[in-house]
Amino acid sequence: MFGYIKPHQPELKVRELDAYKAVYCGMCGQLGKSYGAFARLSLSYDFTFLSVLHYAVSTHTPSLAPCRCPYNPLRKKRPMCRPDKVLEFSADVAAIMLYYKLRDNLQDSRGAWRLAWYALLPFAKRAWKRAAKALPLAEQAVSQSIARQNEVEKSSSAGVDAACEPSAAALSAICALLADGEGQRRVLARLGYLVGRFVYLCDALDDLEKDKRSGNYNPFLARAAALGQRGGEPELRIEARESLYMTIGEIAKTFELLDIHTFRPILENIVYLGFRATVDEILRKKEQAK
Amino acid sequence: MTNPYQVLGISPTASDEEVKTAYRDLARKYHPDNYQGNPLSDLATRKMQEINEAYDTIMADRRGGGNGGGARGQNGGAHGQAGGGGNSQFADIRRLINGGRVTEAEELLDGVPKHARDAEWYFLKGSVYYTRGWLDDAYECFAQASGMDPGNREYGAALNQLNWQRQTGRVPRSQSYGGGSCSVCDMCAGLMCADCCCECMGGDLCSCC
Repeated sequence: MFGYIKPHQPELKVRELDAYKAVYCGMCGQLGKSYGAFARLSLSYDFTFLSVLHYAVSTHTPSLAPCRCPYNPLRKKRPMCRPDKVLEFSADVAAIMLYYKLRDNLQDSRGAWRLAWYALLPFAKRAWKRAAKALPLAEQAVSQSIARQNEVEKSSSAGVDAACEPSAAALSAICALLADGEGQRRVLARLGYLVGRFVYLCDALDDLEKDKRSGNYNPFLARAAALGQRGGEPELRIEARESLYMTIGEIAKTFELLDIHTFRPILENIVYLGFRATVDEILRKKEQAK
Repeated sequence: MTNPYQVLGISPTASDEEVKTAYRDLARKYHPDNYQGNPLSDLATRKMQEINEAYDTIMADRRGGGNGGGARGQNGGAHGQAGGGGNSQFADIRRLINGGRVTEAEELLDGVPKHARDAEWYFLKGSVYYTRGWLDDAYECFAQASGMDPGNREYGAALNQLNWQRQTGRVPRSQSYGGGSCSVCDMCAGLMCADCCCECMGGDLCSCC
């Protein structure tokens, strides 16, 4: 995951932002506690979202305590979620994904970067082993999705939907683990599927120009090639935006069926505003770069 | 039993007007039309029932045991699944899709020879994709179905819904969130949407388009 799932901060109330930051800091603390200081590097908005969602659908309420940030000791103490089951779950998922991400980076990069990834790999592997033991189902879902992603990207005939499938299915399986009833499990599975699809498509839109230059696989380029379109990048971007917006609308519809106990305003902000703001921000940056 | 005020997300001291507004907003959100063909439509129906019951309870309470009514009525709750009209040649496939068995449905659909693939075939193929979360392919299929049979309401509604999402990133008919103000653009977009809805029901709101 890549930090595409975040609230649209200008529309959050101050206390909602504080609560969100408390989960974010709690996530960082939990990563440090579970897997050591290096694991804090994998801290991201996406796993914070996973924790917020988890709190929202479970009856477990986070316990807050004022804490000092070890990386910014001059800042005054801020409320932070204490390590608990919910944060531990997200940290384990983060550790699993970090390991595969590092392996992927190692394959794709050259020179100094390759050396850096190589140096981090043993730490990541140790964390991954422990996390895989704690969450065997999540590890299975992620490892399968990596294998299937490689297959999809090799076959040139795959459409946009088929390209999203592995990432979406992995997040669907992970989100389904958060549920405690059959109805909620179905909602969370579809929500996870759609959010995974959103993240994958966002990444594809982000890398559109880079992939065009390097010739790497990109679902939007592949779709245009399959349809025999020789349209320029502006058309590609509009099509990508429409696919993303459609996914966001579907996420909202699914989200509305979720039984939520806490953090409703934060989740509503992410679903109704944050996702769209992320897409618009990516497109705005592209416009400016011209 | 759950507190009816909690179901509507309001405090017990809310005025009658606030109760009605909360009810209307929620009823619009969970309206069966929004979840037509959705694999989770049964859950939306249940939500709608809860809201209806909560509203009735509150209104009956406030009128000292009298019957509820007022805002409620037109949003009568479950419409049930997509009809699957009398002369459907794919009735069995529709049943499979409504029952959530999309893999079997897709196998049967793929077995239909190319020359027999009519508008309904594309609509059902789109429904399979939609259930699975393959939104882009679903959109293509709904567009194809609508193009082959422009007068069909069912195909038109499915296409319009995804089209609205593609343009706005929002759910059709859900209340505005965030800003809250209604700009000229919103009014035009609303009018356009209303026109589309009228047209797919066979009427016309703006004669110019």
